[in-house]
This record gives sequence, structure tokens and C-alpha cells, in this order.
Amino acid sequence: MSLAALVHLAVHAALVFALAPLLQGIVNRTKAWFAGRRGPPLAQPYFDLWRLLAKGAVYSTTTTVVFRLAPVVALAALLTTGLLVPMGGWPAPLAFAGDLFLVAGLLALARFALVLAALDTGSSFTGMGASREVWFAALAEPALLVSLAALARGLRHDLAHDSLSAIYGAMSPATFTAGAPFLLLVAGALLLVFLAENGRIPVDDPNTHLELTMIHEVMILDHSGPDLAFLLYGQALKLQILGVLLVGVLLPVRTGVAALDLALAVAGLVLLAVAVGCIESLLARLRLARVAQMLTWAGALAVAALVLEVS
Amino acid sequence: MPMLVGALLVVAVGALFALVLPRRMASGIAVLATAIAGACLLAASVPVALGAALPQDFSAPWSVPMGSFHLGLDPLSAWFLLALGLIAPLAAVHGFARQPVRPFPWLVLVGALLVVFTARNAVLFLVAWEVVSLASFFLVLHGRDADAEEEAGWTYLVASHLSTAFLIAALVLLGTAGVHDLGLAGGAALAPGTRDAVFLLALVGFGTKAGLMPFHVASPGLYAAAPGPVAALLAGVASKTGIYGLLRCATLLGDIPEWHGWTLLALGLLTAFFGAVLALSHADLRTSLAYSSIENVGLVFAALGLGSLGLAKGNTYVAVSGYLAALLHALHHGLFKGLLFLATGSFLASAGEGPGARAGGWWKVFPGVGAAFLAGACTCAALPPACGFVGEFLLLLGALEAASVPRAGFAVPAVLSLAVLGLTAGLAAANLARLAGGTFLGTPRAPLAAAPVPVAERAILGVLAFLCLAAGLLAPQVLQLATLPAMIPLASASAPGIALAELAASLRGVLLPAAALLALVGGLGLLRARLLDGRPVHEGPTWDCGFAAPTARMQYTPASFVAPLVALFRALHRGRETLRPPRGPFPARAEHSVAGSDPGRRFLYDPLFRLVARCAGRLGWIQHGYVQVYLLYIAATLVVLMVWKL
Repeated sequence: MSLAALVHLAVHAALVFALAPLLQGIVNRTKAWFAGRRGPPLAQPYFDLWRLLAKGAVYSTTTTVVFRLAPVVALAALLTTGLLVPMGGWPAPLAFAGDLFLVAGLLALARFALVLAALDTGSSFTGMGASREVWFAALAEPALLVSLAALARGLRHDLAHDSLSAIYGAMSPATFTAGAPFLLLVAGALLLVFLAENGRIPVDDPNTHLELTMIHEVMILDHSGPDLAFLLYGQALKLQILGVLLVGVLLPVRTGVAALDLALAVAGLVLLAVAVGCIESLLARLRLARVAQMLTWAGALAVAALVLEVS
Repeated sequence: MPMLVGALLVVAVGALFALVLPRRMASGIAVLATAIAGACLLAASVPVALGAALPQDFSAPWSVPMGSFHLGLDPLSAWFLLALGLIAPLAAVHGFARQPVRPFPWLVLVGALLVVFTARNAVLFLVAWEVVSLASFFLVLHGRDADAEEEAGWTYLVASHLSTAFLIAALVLLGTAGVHDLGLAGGAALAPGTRDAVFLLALVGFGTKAGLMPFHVASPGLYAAAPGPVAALLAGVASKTGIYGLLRCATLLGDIPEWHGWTLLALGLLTAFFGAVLALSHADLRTSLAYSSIENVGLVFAALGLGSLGLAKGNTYVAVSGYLAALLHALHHGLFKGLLFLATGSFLASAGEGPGARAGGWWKVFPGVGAAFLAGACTCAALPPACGFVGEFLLLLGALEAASVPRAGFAVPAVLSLAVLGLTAGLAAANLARLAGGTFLGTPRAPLAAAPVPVAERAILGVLAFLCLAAGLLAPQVLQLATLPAMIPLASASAPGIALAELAASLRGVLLPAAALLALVGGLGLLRARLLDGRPVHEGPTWDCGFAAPTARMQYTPASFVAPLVALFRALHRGRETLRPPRGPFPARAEHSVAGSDPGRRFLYDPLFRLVARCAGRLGWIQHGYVQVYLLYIAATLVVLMVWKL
């Protein structure tokens, strides 16, 4: 690796890894504003992580080493994914042709680890959460793959030879004026996948206290201490990783100056976090059976986008 | 070549001894012979696959009309022999001690597979093909659950004879067209009609063996009824004879029209998707793994279809990625499905076949077997960086490229392929999480009593788990082999080297993130250990939302874990659902279960065979049981033949 590549890696990693919890803080702050409260400080997620990292842990006697390893594996997979996803026009440090499939694979690995840890506790609640997780993930995966393929196809025509960074780097206002309907369809599909995969309303309510209705939150009920910190930080990273894929489409301005592109992507992420806060405050959760329909819609949008682009 | 012939001789001599010696000694002989033969096979095939040795031929006189004992070892044969040489010895060492594996048919199966992968003469190939079927049949009948085994064995025997019938027709057609050497490279000049007929016949014949839908009915039952090592060999290697056969055929047929590719792709995607759905809807561990094998065979066929389509459309990148995905996934599937079936075999041999095996929570009794099964499950779920990801990655890259070529005419199907592949991967991951979690994790629902798993078995499982990871990390090196273009039918492709280099670069791109992943797992693990060091770490009951006395009956069962997905695809798998929901203010016993079924069998083959039986019944009047009448038939036939020939 050359020095420039190392600097790039360091800057990217520092920014992506440091920024992630902030987005959750913004979402919570927005929701508090809607509710007429002042809300927790923006840095509250960082404080929470710090507090958890400083604690001991409690383990169920039912659990095995799988339960203890899962947070490590899940966080490692999500950190690696963070190195593969570009920040808008700012390329990712680890980019290669076809990396979008590795991103999908690493997200699947993180999910698989969490699901197994949930099954390891022998609790009815975590089992239920895991069951819903794999149910929705099976439907979200084709939508994610097809929307990224549609995007790649819409921007470049030799996409199997391109990395995510090249695809996202090729976005410009011109692509939006040329193919607005197509890009909006892709963005719609990515938004639905983003909401579902991150367990936000209308799929799941991260703030609920009723375990019967939860998905992501209920899967990690039995984790505590540093393990829980790893999992919460992983969730924050996932919100950012899928968010930046969406923002890259909706904010197609590329200045050519790396620092400016990076700043734009961060600004887009902040806006997205505010938007998520608004969605969470204004919408109600869907019935579970409706979520499957919603994800089928996401897949249909993505296929429609690709067909529109192909024809 | 001497190594290959040596392996065959060792297996033959071992089989003779296994036939006459008592069972215990015969088992020892079988393990020894399989191990020696495996070593010889690896010694013979690795240099040829690596390009360090030239392709070789061996001919011996054989007094069968049209037949010659002609074996050949070229890169394609060597690639599939690699799987045989790796998995057969591991399975033999693993399984003979505690599982009901019959030594004689086992050795015959290993020898016959060797000949199938190397035969250059059509008659020799068909004889070996038939011997594979018979040996598998006898291996499945081992007396654990006689009814199920008999059913599975007979279904398989009928199906494989149908397959042989189609293959005889295909090879006769090839023979009349002048193709006598099956190792012929570069394609024979066939009339389009002959070529298409050969393709369709070979598709049915080889597809039946591999487990391609809708010809798959025999395979799941066979893998599910067989003991662990046999299932590993049958699902891991023997089912690949069908894929080998089709690749061989594609080389022989030369230029192939587009619709061959479309057919393969459509059937492959159908098989992959239905295989994943059926794997979910079957509760039994072995049956579910068997349907997962069907799913993976579907992926390989879809890859073959994509490869042929790319070739027909002149897109070298799609062609190379499709064929490579098929080739690599065929080998990798042997590794991880071998691991899964062997781990299942170890587990069931120790835990017994009773309800205890379905109790869950076995990790605490068998951590080694559980870890091995989990490694296999992760690989099978195509999670990076293990080898299951490689084939899927190449296949997706090919589909993505096909979706991106402007106005080439295969964009929309390629998009659908991407969607189907994504959905299939999600369903497979859900199923493997259920199998691993439902068997090894959670609270046991019944008292666990088990015999220990011997160290040798655990060591074999460890070796296979290591191979699964190593094969994933070594994939870029494999793509640099100079012999690869000789393994896949790229005669008409332009500049396959460029596409190969691009795909190798993509796979190399996976390496750095994979290294980062492994390093991060290690680093975070250390960090976690440091953080918890010296702090209070307590153990207590599962929290369960404040309810401190959860029992095993309260936890989610494997069936309830997949219930939403099983219900979503109810119309496809047609499992028989029993639902007794809790009713009234004081609900009594409630239950819900889905008994998996195979729609292909229920709606296609059962009616078909009933029809055949009815038609055959109508012809009953020919049979009287009088010898005189039969003699009359013979005389009449002879007279008719004489008149016809006059």
C-alpha cells in the first residue's frame, strides 16, 4: 500500500467509524423535537457506548461460545463493510470490481451471527426476533442487489468491471436530469431496504418497550456490557452504511474535490438522519404481514427501475 | 496415469477382499484402500489440474463390442477427480467405525466414480455410470429405517435407469455422428438436429443424476436415507457426475445455440429457488440438507446456463464467469456439503436417531461437532470469506455483466436471475441458521444422552472446515491456473484470458477485506477479553423480559423460526399443514406443524407412474403363465423378424 492509500484509509476509517453514532443522536433529537421535548444530547449514543464498554457482563447459563463470539463477528463484518462503501463521491479505501456483492455478503454475515446468538439464548423473545429478521432479510436481499445493479447499469454500462466507488463517483446532476424517474425508483427501493434493514419505523420501532413487536432490539435482549456496546455500535454503522448508499443517489453532486465531496456526503447523511426522525415521528408501524408486502414492493421498484433503464 | 490405474487397482483388490472377509476386517480394508486410492488420485490429478503434467491416456484391450477400456486424464477430469480424491478418503476414515457403511459397495462406488470421471469410451462410461447407480442403491439399504431406505433406494434405482436410458440414446446419437472419443476437445461437427437432440437427452440424463428439477425426485430421498459418509460422497461427488457430464457434452457439441443456455439457466434458477423453499419446509435435518444440495446443484446449472448464454451471445466475460462459477461451486459444494453431512453423521451416530436428536442444545455436549456444523452452515450460506461465497460471487458478477450489456437481449432475464439469486441466498441462510441453531443451540427440549464422538471424527471435520476456508482464500490463485480454459468449453470465445484476469482481480479484491475481517475478529476478540478482564462477569438464567424461569418449551422451535417464510411460500412447497390454534378463555393444547412434501413428486411423478402402472395393467392379458404361450411368442417374433429381413 502506498502512503496516499494509507492516508486515505485512515481518513475514511476515522470519519466513518467516528460519525456513525452521531446519526442516531440526530434521529433521536429530531424525534424529541416532534414530541415537544428537548431530548438527549446529540452525543448521547457515544456516552451510552462508553458506559457499556466500562461495564462487566451477565451471561445466560444457556448460552455457549457462539453467543459470546457473535457480537465480535458482527461488528468486524460491519467495520469491514464500512471500508468498502464510498461516501458519495469520496471513494472507499478498499474498492474493487464487484465489491457490492461482498458488501451484501458481509451484511449477511453480520446478520447470521446475530441470529445464531439470538437462537443461543433459548428465549422465546429473541427467537421470535431472529425469525422475523431472517424473514425480512430474505425479502430485502434481492431488492438491495437489484437496486444496486440498476444504479450501476444506469450510470455506466460496464458495471461488472466497476466498484461501488466508481459507480457512485459517476453520479452528477446531469444523470439526475437524464434519468430522474429511474433514479427515483432506485432511491425508493433503497429507502425501503434502508428502513427495513435498520429496523426503523414503519418496520420496527427501535424505542418500543413492548418486546412482542420488536425485531432488531429484541434479538439483543440478552447481551450486556461490552458485547452490547459492540452490537449497538454495529447497528449505528449499519445505519450509516446503508444510509450513504441512499444519500449517494439522492445527492448527486460531485465537485471533484475530495474534501468537498466528503463534506457533502456527511451533510447528506445528517439530512437523512433528520428525515428518518421525521418518518419515525409521523408514521406508525406497519402490521408484520404488511412488512413483507412492503419489501416485495421494494423489490418491484428495483426491478421496475432496471427494466426502465434496460428498455 | 500409472497413479490413476494404481488407484483403480487398489480399489478393485480392496473390493475383492471386502467381499470375502468378515465385516470388521472388510471395513478396515475399505478405509485403507480408499485412503491409498485417494492419495493416488490426488497425486495423479493435482499436477494435471495445475498444468504441471500433460493430459494422459490409458488404453487396455476390452472384449466388449464397441467398447475399449480407454481412460483419459485431462484438466476437466482432473478437477472432478480432485473432489473424489479429497472427500472419499476423509469420509471413509470418518465413517466406517460407527456408521453402517457397507465396505464392498463403497469401494465399488469409489472405483466407478473414478471411471466415470475418466472414461473416454462411451460403453465404458455407461457401464461405470450404471455401476455407480447400483453401488449407491446397495449403500442406501443399510437397515436403519428399512421402509424409508427401500423407498428411497427404489425411487433412485428407477430414476437412475431412466437417466441411463436417456444417456444411452445421447451416446448412440453421438456415436452414429462419428464421435467415439469422449475426451475430444474443440467440438465435433454435428448437424444442428443431432446436436439439439444430444443436448436434450444429456440434459435429462445428467440432470436426473445431479438433481435438476423437475428430474430431481430421487436425489433428496437418497441423500436423506444414506448414512453420513455415503451422503457426503453421493451429494458431494456423485451428484457432480451430472455436471461433469454436461461440461463434457458442452465441449463435444462445440458451438451451442442460445436456447441451450436459456434452458439451463431457467431450469437452474427454478431448481435453486425451489430447492431453497423445499429445504425450509422439511423439518428433518438430513432431508433439509438434501434439498439444500438440490439448491446448490441448481446454482451450478444456472451458472452453466449463464456461461453457455455468454458464449452464444459472444460475451466472453459472462461466458467465463458462468463456467468458472459452475466449476468452482461444483468442487466447493463437495467440500462444504461433505462437512455438513459428515458432521450430521457424527452427531446422529452419537445422539441416536430418536427424538433426543431433535431436542436442540447439543452444543454443550458436542462443541467440536457443533462448531464444525456451524462452519459448514456458514460456508453453505455463501457467507464470505469461506468457499461457498466464491461460486455465488462469480455467478452474480456474470449476471450483473449480462444485465449491463446494452441491447444484448439478455438484460431482463439477467435482472431476474439477480433477484432470484438474492432471494435464494436469503432463504438458504435462514434455513442453515435454523438447522445449526435448532440442533445445537438453545435449551434442550429433552434430556440429552449421548456417546462421545471419537477424536478421529472430530479431526476429519476440522480438516474439512479448514479446507472450506482455505478454498475460499485460494480461489484467486485457482483462477490463474493455465489449465482453466481447457476445463471449460471456451473454444469459440474470444480472448478468454482478459475475462479470466478481470475475474481473478475481482476475487483478489475480496482477499484484502477478508484479511481485514479476520484481523478485526481477532482484534475485537482480544479487546473484549481485555475489557472483561477483572470485571464482574456473572452467569444467570436467560433474561426473557423479566420472566426468570423460562422453560425449554417456551423457546422458539426450529419450525416456528421458519414458519413465516414457510407460510409465505405455502403455495409452492405444498407441505401438509396441521394447525390447532389456542381457543377460548382457557386454551388447552395447541399445535402447528408442517410436514414437508415434494410437489414435483406429488403432482408430476406419482400421477405419471400411476398412469404407467394402469397402462401396464391393461397389457396383463398377454401374460398367462403358460410356457407354451411364451414359446409361441418367441416363435412369432422370430417369424416376424425373418419376414421383415427377407
